[in-house]
Amino acid sequence: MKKKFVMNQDRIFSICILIFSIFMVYQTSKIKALFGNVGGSDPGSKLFPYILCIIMGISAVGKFIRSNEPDTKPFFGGHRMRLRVACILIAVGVYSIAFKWIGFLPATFMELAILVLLMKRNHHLKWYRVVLFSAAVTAVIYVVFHNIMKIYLPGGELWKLF
Amino acid sequence: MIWTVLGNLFAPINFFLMFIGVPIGIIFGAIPGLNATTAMALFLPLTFAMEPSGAIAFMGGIYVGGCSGGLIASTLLNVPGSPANIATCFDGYPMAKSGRASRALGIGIFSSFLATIGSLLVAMVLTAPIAKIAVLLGPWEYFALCTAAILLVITISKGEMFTGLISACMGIMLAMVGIAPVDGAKRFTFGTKTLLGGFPMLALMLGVFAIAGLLESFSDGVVFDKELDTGKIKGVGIPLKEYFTHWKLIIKSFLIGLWIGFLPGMGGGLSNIVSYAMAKSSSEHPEKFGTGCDEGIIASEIANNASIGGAIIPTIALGIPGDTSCAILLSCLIIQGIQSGPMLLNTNTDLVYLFYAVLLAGNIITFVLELGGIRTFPYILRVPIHYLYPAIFTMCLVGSYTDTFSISSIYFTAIMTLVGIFMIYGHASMSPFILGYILGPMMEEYMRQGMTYSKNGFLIFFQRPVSCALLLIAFASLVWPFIRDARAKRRAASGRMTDVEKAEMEANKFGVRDN
Repeated sequence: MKKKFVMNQDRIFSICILIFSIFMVYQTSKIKALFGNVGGSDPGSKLFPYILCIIMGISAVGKFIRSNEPDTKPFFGGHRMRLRVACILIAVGVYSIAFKWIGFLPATFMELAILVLLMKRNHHLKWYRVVLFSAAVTAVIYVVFHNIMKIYLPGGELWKLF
Repeated sequence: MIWTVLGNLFAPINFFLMFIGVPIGIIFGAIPGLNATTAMALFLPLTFAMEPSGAIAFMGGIYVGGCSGGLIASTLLNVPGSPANIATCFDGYPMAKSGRASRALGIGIFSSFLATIGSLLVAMVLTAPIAKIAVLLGPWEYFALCTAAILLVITISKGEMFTGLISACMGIMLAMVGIAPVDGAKRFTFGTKTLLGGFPMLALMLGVFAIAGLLESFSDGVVFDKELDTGKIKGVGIPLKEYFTHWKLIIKSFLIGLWIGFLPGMGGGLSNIVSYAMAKSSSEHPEKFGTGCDEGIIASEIANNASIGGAIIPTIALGIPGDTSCAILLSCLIIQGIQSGPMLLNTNTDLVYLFYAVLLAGNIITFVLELGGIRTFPYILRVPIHYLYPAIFTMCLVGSYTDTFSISSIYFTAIMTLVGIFMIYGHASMSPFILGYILGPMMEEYMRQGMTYSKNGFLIFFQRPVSCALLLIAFASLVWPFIRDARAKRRAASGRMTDVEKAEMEANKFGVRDN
């Protein structure tokens, strides 16, 4: 009896990897060596990437063919959890930008508070605990990096405009 | 040299760094979802400001504390602190539940201590001769060794072979971004100057191991708010005389752990399962396993800690990390400007032996702290995730900034987090990925050097006996998973699974990914 075709996580992953390897083959073809043959049988800087892309492509096809079982576990815990994780990643991304523009102290304080709220699950948190926690961790990180390790953290490009 | 090493070890700053590294490692090892690898990646940026000896003391303390700390959650909560402690759950938790928590913890802690000391002494003895042999090898042999290391990890570790190959290739691909070896061609920089230096190792470690790994733990909903009666935790657990009645099991588990730790990319994650299966199959009372028997805990903890010394041997002697924690140790050395590889022992003898001394001393500190702090462990395990994880994420991002003092490092960390999540989506293992990232540039450099020195092209790798043998082993290992799967299917169909397969099936229920 033929097994029903299942589009599972592994197969989607395989398709992405196959597309990626084709893209990398194209990028590899554009590599320009600084000078000609180094000597002996030196294959140049393109051979290794080509070999890897071929292996990756074949492996992606092999994984696609072999993976025909339905997913046993939802990716990242299901739809609601995925949304929460996506929000966490967005918060991390915004922090990366805010870190430079508004500076370490305000950006870190706000980021910590937001992450605590995103990760709290079913707990009921008092607002002052979140504020205290964010302030304390920000202060500790600042002291460790700035005062102890003498690594100066950004003060914020935006404030320089004023 | 001994006095130099001892002088370095007991220098106030180094001793202090080791002393704070150990409890950090224990705490990270104890909390499910965190482990020694996460702790080492997280605190790696702090080593920028340290001297090489201080950095090694700090990282070594975290490493040895983290390797031992995982048994705490396994025993008290039936949640493995790390993949290396899965098998400890099988008997540690039932023993703790039956009111013998102190015995379970005592057996685990003493087994960790004993196995770590033994494996480190073996590593100290074997590293020098292996490094001497390694120095005699040429680029052809090193290329073959790196290839064999990566392919062995792919075929021996859990998961499908094709997924392992994809994982390894992705790691190597990431390492190829930037300037090519030998001829300096620009590769995959997309015209940007930022990518000329490639993807920073720190960003990769923090993004893939720390942030992506923790997001997965968070989404799995690891919650450890079970009520624990700390009043039942008394004393140090087990009389030594009673412990050493299992001396045959201790030796067998030790050898299993040592050998598996020696295999590149392998570590405690595999050795504890294999050792547990061996202990059960060779026991006179296999029916007692899983109900809270001493042998189950001994087999698991001896093997996973014996892997420490086993993993360090190829790391120091060959520059090939024995497991992912050793990969981060190598990163620490690179950050300090110390070149890894077989010459490490010759050029930085004091540092290498300081590392061993740190691990030995750290192991003693771990033993004392764990025995003395047995009653506080339940409180450590109840730190709320919604406070702990945001603090860790923030430290990761700020830590990545300290690598280059450029915002681009934070962006790279965010990108690596997405790569890590993508790999989790595809059920891809991290071991081949990190090994590919570290060994990939070396592989290419050795391959091109080997071919440059010869006019026979790739044939030269098969004309040299050592290189040929290693490559044949490597490619033969590609066939092994198909044979293994076919045999396992036949055995499962006839109801005759091996003890290792049964133990792996039990381990899979925990859903703990290997690192």
